[in-house]
Amino acid sequence: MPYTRKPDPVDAIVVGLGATGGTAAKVLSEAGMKVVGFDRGPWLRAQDHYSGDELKFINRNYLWPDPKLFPRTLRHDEDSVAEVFPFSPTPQLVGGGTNHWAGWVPRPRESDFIQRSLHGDLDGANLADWPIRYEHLEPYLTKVEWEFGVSGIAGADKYEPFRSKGYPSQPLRPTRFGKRFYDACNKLGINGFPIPHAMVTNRHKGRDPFNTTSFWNQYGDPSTARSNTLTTFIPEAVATGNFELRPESFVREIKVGKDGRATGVVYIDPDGNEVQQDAEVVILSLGAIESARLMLMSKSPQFPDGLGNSSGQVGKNATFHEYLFAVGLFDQEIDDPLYGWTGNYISGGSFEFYETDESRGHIGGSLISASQTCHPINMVFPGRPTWGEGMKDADRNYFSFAMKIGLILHDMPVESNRVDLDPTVKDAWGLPVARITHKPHPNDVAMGKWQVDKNAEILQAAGARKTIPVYLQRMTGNTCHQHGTARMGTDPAKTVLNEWCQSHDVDNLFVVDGACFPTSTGVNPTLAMMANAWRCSEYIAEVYAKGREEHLKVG
Amino acid sequence: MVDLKVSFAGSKPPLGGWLPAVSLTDRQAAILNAAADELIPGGDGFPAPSEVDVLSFVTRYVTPSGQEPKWFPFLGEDDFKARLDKLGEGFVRASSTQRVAVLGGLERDEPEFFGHLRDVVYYAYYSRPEVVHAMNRVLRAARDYRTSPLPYGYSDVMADWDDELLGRVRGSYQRTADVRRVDVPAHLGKAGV
Repeated sequence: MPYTRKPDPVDAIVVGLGATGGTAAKVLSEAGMKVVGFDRGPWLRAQDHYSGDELKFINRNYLWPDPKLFPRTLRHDEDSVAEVFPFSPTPQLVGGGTNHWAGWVPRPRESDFIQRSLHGDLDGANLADWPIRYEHLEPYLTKVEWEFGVSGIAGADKYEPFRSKGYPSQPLRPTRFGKRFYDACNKLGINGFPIPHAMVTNRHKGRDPFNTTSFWNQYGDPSTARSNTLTTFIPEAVATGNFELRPESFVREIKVGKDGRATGVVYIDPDGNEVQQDAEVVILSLGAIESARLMLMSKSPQFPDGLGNSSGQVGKNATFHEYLFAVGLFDQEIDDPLYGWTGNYISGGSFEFYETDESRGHIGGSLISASQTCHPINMVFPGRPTWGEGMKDADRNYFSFAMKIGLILHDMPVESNRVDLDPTVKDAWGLPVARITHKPHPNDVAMGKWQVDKNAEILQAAGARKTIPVYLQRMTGNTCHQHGTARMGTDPAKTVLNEWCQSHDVDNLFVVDGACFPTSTGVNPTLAMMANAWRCSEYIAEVYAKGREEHLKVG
Repeated sequence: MVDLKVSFAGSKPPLGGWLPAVSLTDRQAAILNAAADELIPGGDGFPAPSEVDVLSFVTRYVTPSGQEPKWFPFLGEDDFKARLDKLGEGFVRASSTQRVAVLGGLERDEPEFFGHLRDVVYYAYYSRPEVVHAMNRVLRAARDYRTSPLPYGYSDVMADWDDELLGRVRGSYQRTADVRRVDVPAHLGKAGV
């Protein structure tokens, strides 16, 4: 098929320039490879486009995908008809989810890499060990922390695994509600600690320290205190002279040659032209939903079921971190204000309930953390009257007298929970949208219930007059965390990628986002995803591009 | 036929709403003010919405006639005006109790429209400087709330670290190989999806 343009081939293409794509762009271009990066969103500039405007950022999709252009569909079991639903949306622009995130970057635990070894077969689930261990990732976790200027205090989390270096930036000061959390934890004998944040608290690599306004989570940061790939890794990649960024460019297909290797991509440029870009290596980093979708859309005679899908596993075992919580309402006649609109969105967390404890009746666990209920105008809590005198009273009673303790649900992998191509709904380009099928495993429900109740107990210990639990009913996609749709592993019959996130089928295709995670972990995944993308990109530049092959040994 | 001209251009709402704003008749403005005053009652040191010009905000965010109201607050000019007209002059003249009853009926019968109206009035009201000043003046918990973040943010109302708290904790490490196997609870082992 003739294309409008066919630019010169490059060494590598990176599709999607969020947390992991931005990392890949930096590592590869700094290693001397010629790289082209695509993002279907625009390239915004923090100082020109970002602010603390609730209406713009919370309600009017400034960072988020327009559901008319980029719909998704959801069904809760395979027998139901999927409906258009904004499931797990992530910001679509250069920098991706790091444009909106609160920036909490805790490390995964040793147990996250060996869930099957620890628990065996969990009926109805598809537990798997990772082909790497915590020890393999640790050096790269440290690299990202130091490049990003992560704030934290080594040792404050008493369950923290080995770290080769402390943090480059001091921990964020506790918010008022964070202080309540620490006090309650002390009362209950729980280890509370300042969750590491991708926010610099002292001047770092030319960036000024964090302003304690709190208009960060869900907002674009007009300063550069919050680390994101838009203001760190992407400019560093561009500065090498080896990286060309093509925003507003929608990659619709990965092309394959007669030998079954990827030759490049076809994309639609901002003027609506179809363009073919060839490369030696194609790297996907669109997030687990969209990477799977692009692989499934890239059909060819060699790969009639989608690229790199000889195992039939692309899109399967999709996991998400539904965010659950308990809200605490405090008594303004007794308590001091919690100042929920100041400081960071979350303040204080605990890994006390992370590892399996048989007495709880479920396996696994999650990171918990104290947070704001929301920002002033969008303040919400379940059951709050929404207008009239009742609303006025609720707002004036609870404005600054509410907080919540949330959890990152450690969603168990289930093969039938998956991403595939919707048979009827198309996006603005006429291409099939991602259809998500997800039914929680009983362990998810049990884990969520137990932890929400525990969080309510902590809120009561903090002095909450009333607590409101929010349990798991169904997966709503109340999270940007997506994993598992192109698992990495050693067996090509059961997994999509090897330990370097390299397709078992197509040796020059890599998927470096959360799609590669065999299990979801119970912790915010972005730090681990970025570290893993760094690790794999280093492999591409230092080993694969030089014609060699290496394999890890895990004990 | 695939429209390859589709791109991000035009896919974002205009910042600050549309200018010029949608214009309302005097009667429509009075109806909107009356509704806003019931949605967020004034008093106790707070102004009524009608006293702080919620109208100019709302009319900037109502999508002008001829365009699809695809962005928050999802209100299109023609439909919005027709609904105000339907509430009618009687709504303006009615007592507060009667207006609340009418709005309650609207919430029950047309929840989508009611929600959009309520939300945009909420934004309009709490964006007014007079309201922020009232919050500062009247609410103990909001005395420090500001209309925009300042260079040093809210440092003055943040807490300090408890050095003792952090001094007590120490990190630990166990090799992956030393992580203990834990049995799956029996009831989960038998459970299906």
